[in-house]
This record gives sequence, structure tokens and C-alpha cells, in this order.
Amino acid sequence: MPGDSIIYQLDPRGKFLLTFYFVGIVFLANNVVSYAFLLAFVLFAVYLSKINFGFFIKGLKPVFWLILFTVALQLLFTPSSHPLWHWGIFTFSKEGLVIAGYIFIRFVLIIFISTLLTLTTTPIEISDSIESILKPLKKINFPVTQVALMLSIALRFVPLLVDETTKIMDAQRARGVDFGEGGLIKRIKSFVPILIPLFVSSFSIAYDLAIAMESRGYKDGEGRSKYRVLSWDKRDNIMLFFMALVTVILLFLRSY
Amino acid sequence: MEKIISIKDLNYTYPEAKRSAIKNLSLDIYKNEWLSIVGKNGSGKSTLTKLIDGLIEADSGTIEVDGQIIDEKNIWEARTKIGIIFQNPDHQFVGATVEDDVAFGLENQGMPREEMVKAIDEALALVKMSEFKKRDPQSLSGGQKQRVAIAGVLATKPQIVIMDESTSMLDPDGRRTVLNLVQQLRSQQDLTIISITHDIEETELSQRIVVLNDGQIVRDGKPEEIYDLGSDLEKFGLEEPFTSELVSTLRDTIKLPDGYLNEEELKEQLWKLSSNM
Repeated sequence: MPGDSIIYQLDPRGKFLLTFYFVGIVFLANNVVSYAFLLAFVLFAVYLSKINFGFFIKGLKPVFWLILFTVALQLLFTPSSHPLWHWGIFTFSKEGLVIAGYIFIRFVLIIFISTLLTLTTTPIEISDSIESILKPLKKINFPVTQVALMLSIALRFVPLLVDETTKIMDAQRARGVDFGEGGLIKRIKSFVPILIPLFVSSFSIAYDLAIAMESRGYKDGEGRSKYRVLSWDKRDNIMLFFMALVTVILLFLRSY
Repeated sequence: MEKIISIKDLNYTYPEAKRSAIKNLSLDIYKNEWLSIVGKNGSGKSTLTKLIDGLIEADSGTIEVDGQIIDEKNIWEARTKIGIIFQNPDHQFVGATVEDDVAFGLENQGMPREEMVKAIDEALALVKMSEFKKRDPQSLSGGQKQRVAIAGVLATKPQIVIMDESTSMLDPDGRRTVLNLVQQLRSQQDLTIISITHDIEETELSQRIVVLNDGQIVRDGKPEEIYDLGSDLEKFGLEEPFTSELVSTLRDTIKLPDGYLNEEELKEQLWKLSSNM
């Protein structure tokens, strides 16, 4: 999904680090105004990305139950001196409602911002960013370039292994294995005949790939040049400055 | 003709194997020729490729590439002269996109980025894949992936290209495109092509065929000479080319000139006969 909005064009290193940074500062918000401010910021970023809002809502789906559970916990267990409703160990109060609301917003903020990162950054860009961020570790002989290559090859082979799994499953189905039937133990057991061929074939793919890489002159990662380059420009500085501004405003709003 | 690869008394046995994969094999390969090495599974043809590129080490014998006997010290230099296209298009695609994959060999050589950009564009233009530059491998067909693999090899400017069953996993269309492309590149880029296959029909475009059986060369000659062996080829686990089989059946009833006839020649003879009737 190549896009042309400004968020796509920002340097992936900046996006990657600032996403983590943002997840951190979300926990600084402590009142309605500060949460509203952060929400406005995230929605603004989503708007800038020009991505259909539906994709972000979809991002919430996998964690829907987790959110529901956490919110319910806060609603029912927040201690309060003026409970509106009380039954056994359950307490329902205004404070609980507010805290549950905060938790909900916090989830939404974190999921939206990380969805924004994954939608606007290709896996290979993220792997490049990690390589670039880890570069200082070279000084202590950590094999940064090799690790980055491993990461990018791993990403490259995920779809291939998915295909391989489908093929093996089809082959097993043709021999009468039913993967959807039986109890939990039986279902887990029926995955053994998938895992073993998958294991064997991934080793043979790895061997083929190693031979192909060696024949193309790959030695040990030293003395290699890089084709993909990351470029940090003015827009990335603006993003940093913007984020700093958000932090300052947030700190100010905390004591509002 | 100038020799580019010279193999002398090569022997190789896989660890823990009883039979040797390559037995006392000697072979000279000349500059700019298209040599096909054919043989059934287990005849040692892929082992030979790996030995030539130094991916495995011979038990005895020597391999000379471009005037240098390869050993541990100069193997990386020899590898820059040799490019290999392997069988499975998916198992040799290293990059996340087409351009990244072509870049891989150049990155290994430590080529500066500005030169790389040019070399990649040139190589992709040669295999007519320029418009796919930014695509990821999953969106390409097998033939397209093999063309990218060829571009990746060509970008490093090798003198020898080895095709190790490179077309065996492709559909007829992809196979034809890849073979014609290689033919065209051989004359344009002054390349030596060694193609390894078990399908004798794929050797049409080559100038010389070597038949391998049990790690030894059993026949070496021009395609016509090899095709003319007819059903003798079956002794080496190979199928007789279709036209050769057709001609030998036809000879029972009609008179055809001696020797191997390719599709065109056979057609011509049949037309002649039909106009004489």
C-alpha cells in the first residue's frame, strides 16, 4: 500500500522511535483535558495520513476483549467513598466510570498510533530503522548488519512459509486429516504432522538460500554497501519539534 | 577458441555417500559458447555446478576459471566471474523488492550507491523488468522471478552464467521467455552460458551438449550429433527429442534424409514429399 501523504514520506527511524515515545507519554495524561488533547493529536495524525478511518477501527478488533475486560475491571472494582451502586465485592462509582473512560482512551490512543506506524511503514523500512538505531552497538562487536539482514530475510520468507503451510495442510487433508474436529488435545496433536514437514522444508529452503547468497558473493556482511538509504530531512525535524511541543503542552495540561 | 573453464580429473564424493558423484571428469568450456549439460537425476550435474563455483570442495582434480586454478584464496574473485540461476525462483530471492534483490550482489561487492542505481536500472532493462522495480516477489510469476534472478546476476557483470535447472519450475511460456532472453543476452553481453537440465528439449538453443551419467561424461557433441543418438539416449535416463522420435517412426514408411532433423527441417521434408505425391 504505497501512499503519498506526508506520514508515508517521513523517515521510518523517526516514526519508529516517536511511536514508542508517544506510547510512553500517553501515561502522563491525568485529566480530561490532557486526554482530549492527546486524542486530538492522534486524530490529526490520522487525518494527515489520508488513510481510511476504518483501518484504524479494524486495528481495535483483535484487542477488543482485552479492552472490554480492563474497562469492566475498572468500572466494577474502583474503590470509592460515594459508590452509586454496591453489591458484594462490586462497586460502581463516578470515579470508576472516569478511570474506565481514561483506560479506554489510552488503549485507543496506543492502538491508533501503532496502527499508523504499521500502515505507513513497510516491514523492510522498520528493519532498516532497527539496523540504523542499533548501529552504536557495533562498537561492542554486536553484529548489527547481520542481524538486520536476518530480520529482512525472515520478513521476506514469512509469506513463503505461509504458502508452504497451506500446501502441507492440503496434502494432509487429502490423506484424511481433519484439522477442525475433536477436542483441544486432538486438535493440537493434528498439528504435529504439519510442523515436522514445515520444519524440514524450511531447513531445505534455508540451505538453498544460503547457497544462492554465497554464489552471489555474500561473505559475512562486512564490506557491504547499502542500496536502501534512509534520509532524514527538514520534515523529520519538524515532526520532532512538533512532538516536543506536544510534550510541553501535555505537561502544562496535567496541572490544569 | 579460448577456454574459459578447464576442468581436469575432477573427483567428488558426498560425505557419507558410497558412490562418487563426480568421477575423473575433465571438460573444457569455451568463451561465449552455450553448453548444455544433460543427465538424469543423480547424474552429478548439479554437483558439477557447485564444484565450479567453489560451493563445495573437490576431493581431487583442478578447476581453472578464466586462467586461474580456483582455491580457497581466489574463490571469491572467481565467483564474481560466475553467476548462477538456481531452480526454485522463491529460494533465491533475497531482497524485499525487485530492485533490492538485484542490488544484493552489488552490495556484496561494496559498490557505491550511485553506481548501483545505474547498474540496477541497466540490468532490469536487459531482462525487461524495469516496470516491476518496486514490486515484491509475491506479486511476480515464476518466469518473472527468474528474470529478476538473471538481472541480479547480470548486474555484477559475470563472464559465465550457469543455469542450474532454472526453467524446470516454469510454465512453457515462462520457460520460452527465459531461454530466448538468455540466448539474446549471450550474444549481446559476450557471455558463456552453461545450462544444466534433464530435459533434452531445452537444449535446442545451445551449441554443444555434454551428456552426464553416473558422474562421467558419456557423450560430448553438437546438438544434432546428440539428438541423432535417438533411443540410445534412454540408456542415460534421457528422453529422445520428440522430432527425432517422430523421424525414426516415419522412416519405417517414408524415405527421409539421414541424420537429425529439427522441427523446421522435418516440416520442409514433409512438404517436399507431399508436393511430389
